[in-house]
Amino acid sequence: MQKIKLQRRWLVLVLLLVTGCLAILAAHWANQNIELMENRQRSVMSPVIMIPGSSATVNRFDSLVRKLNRVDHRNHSLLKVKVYNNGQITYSGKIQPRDREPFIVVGFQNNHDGYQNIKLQARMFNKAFKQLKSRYAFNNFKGIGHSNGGLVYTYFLEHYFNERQIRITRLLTIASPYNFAEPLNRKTEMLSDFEDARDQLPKNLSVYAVVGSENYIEDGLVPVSSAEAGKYIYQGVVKHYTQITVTGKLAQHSALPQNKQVIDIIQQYILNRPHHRQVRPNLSTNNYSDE
Amino acid sequence: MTRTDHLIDKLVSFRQLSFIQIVQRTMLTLFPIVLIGSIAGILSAVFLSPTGFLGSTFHIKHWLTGYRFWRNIFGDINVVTVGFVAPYAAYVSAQLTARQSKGEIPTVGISAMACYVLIFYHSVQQNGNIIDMRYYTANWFIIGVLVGYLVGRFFVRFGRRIVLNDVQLKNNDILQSTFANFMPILVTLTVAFFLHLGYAIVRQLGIDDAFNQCVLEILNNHSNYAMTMLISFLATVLTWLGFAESINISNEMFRSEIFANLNYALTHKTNVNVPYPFTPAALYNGFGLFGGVGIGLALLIAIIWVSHHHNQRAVAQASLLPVFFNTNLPLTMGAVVMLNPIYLLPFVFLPLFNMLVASGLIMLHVLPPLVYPSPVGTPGILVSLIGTGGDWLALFWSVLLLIVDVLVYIPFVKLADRVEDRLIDERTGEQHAKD
Repeated sequence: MQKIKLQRRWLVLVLLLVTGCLAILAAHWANQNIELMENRQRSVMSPVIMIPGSSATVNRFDSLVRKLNRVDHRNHSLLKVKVYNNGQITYSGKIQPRDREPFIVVGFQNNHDGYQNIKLQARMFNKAFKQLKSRYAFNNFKGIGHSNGGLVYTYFLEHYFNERQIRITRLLTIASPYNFAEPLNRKTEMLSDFEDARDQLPKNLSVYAVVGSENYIEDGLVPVSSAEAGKYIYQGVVKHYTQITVTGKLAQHSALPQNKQVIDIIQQYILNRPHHRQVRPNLSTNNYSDE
Repeated sequence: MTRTDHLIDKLVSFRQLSFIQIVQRTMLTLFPIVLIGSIAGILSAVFLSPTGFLGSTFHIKHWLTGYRFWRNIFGDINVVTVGFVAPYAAYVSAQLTARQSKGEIPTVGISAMACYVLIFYHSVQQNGNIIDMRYYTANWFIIGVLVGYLVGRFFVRFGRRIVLNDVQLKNNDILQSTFANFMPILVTLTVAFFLHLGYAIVRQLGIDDAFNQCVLEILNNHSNYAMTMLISFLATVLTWLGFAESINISNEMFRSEIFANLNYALTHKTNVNVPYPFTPAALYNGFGLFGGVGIGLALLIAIIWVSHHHNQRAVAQASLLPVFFNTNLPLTMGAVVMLNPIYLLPFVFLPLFNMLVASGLIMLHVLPPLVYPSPVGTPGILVSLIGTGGDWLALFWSVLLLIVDVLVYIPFVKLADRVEDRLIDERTGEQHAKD
């Protein structure tokens, strides 16, 4: 009985002490965390995060951003993020203070083609995204993926993107070969994987797929049918899926990011409209739609 | 004879049922493994992970380089212990079943384990060949015990026993017994094979996926109060039945409501009038889980407070750390909670009671609703503190509820002590009778 009494005393003492200490830490953490979340909630920054295609570097979108700045006079900053195979992430360029809509390009040291590499790149992109998220307090962003960049985005959205407070509002894929260079009757492993995991896509996302066409069949590299196969993934799951075919001058696969029509499309559909009041994104619609 | 004596009689005879004995002895045998695994799991998920409770409060990300490596290393311990409990249980329960009929059959344990793994192992899957590990975790503990028990009974009936205590036993004798037991090994594995086949067909037809989809569909809809209570009820009853880690309410469930609440609180900078004050995650995780399913922490304190049994106290003391961080598997196994009718009532109804009281307090605006997310492995009594954004009153009510829970558990622990006493008496009585 004596022993039990002693143990009781010890138990109460230990529990009180541990609970007390941890409670102070927990309350401190909770306040910090809420402050972080409130900052993010208030933030008006809404970056455009871009992924170049295979064999391209972080400089891939330089001329696109230059041309865009020339038309809309809003002087978007350009930040380039490069992810190395060993996990190291380097930054070049910077985001001007008070720039509400900077461009961020995420490129990879491993920029090779093929489904395995796309999976690896999606993982690296996730890493970069997490770092960007802790550096900049944005609560929504827009995505642009050229060629394989659109595939990396698709894989990222299906397998990694799971944010409580951050929402992707619009995604533009430019000539992304959803079925690689195969005809549709030979569905690639990647396309069927994308279709299988489509339920994981954010429900409140608007997707625009630009398809380039030099003739009626392909943009010089990617078959039109493959770039159009995005509909089997996005259509019916996300809020809107719009497909735009661009032809004429600079409709060749690699020239598309510099194409005048594509730049118009980015300005019109992807960028936020200036002089309009920014609508706060509603968290309840993250990956979920009430409608 | 008083009514309590009558009750104790009944409880004692329930405990002496052959299958119940096997379940409970299996739990006790596996206790050390589960304890070590749980502590490793807490190290891995709560301390060494930046999203864990200790990891985030101590900002582990900033000063411990290589935390990922250590998190995975300790996570591995957790996987091979707690993550494999079901097949281990099959092994142990088969051996115990054989020994129950005073025999020793060397191959029985391994046969049972092979049967269990065969039933649930499958390379036939729609997407690739990923082996689904969920059937090996503590969640399926009771199924493992059942498989072991059935295999054990079959071997007792049709197998051949040997005396293993004999150190002089020759290799030849072991071989002989192996051949003698060839028939039961073959038969049990064949039965397991047919179950495997049936399960493969279910998977092939996608029935299990359809079922999961259905459940997800429900969980993505809006919750209501009755459903919150039902989830808690199911979680505790299933755990009590031996599906030891049955239901977790994560932030993924009913996430639309959680997001709506958080969104409201962050924009308005107050959590008073959030749209969904009674989400399951808030009520159940905040007030129904002090020390894991069934208010394990209250049971643990009650045992240390009043139990006279040395073993029970030792189990409770050893389980203090995991239970404090809401992992109550060591306690539910070591203190024989699962399938123990004594603890059924408090185990199932105390969480409901806590949730009722808490929602009353929230309704009367004594407590603000819980809207802010808490990290993985937050000790149950601190969830309300974090969820309300650091409201000390919430912690006060949690502690008060915990004290009430301990007081409720105390008579049940005393009853369990008396049943234990009687069982010991009867065992020594039997021994005397033999002598």
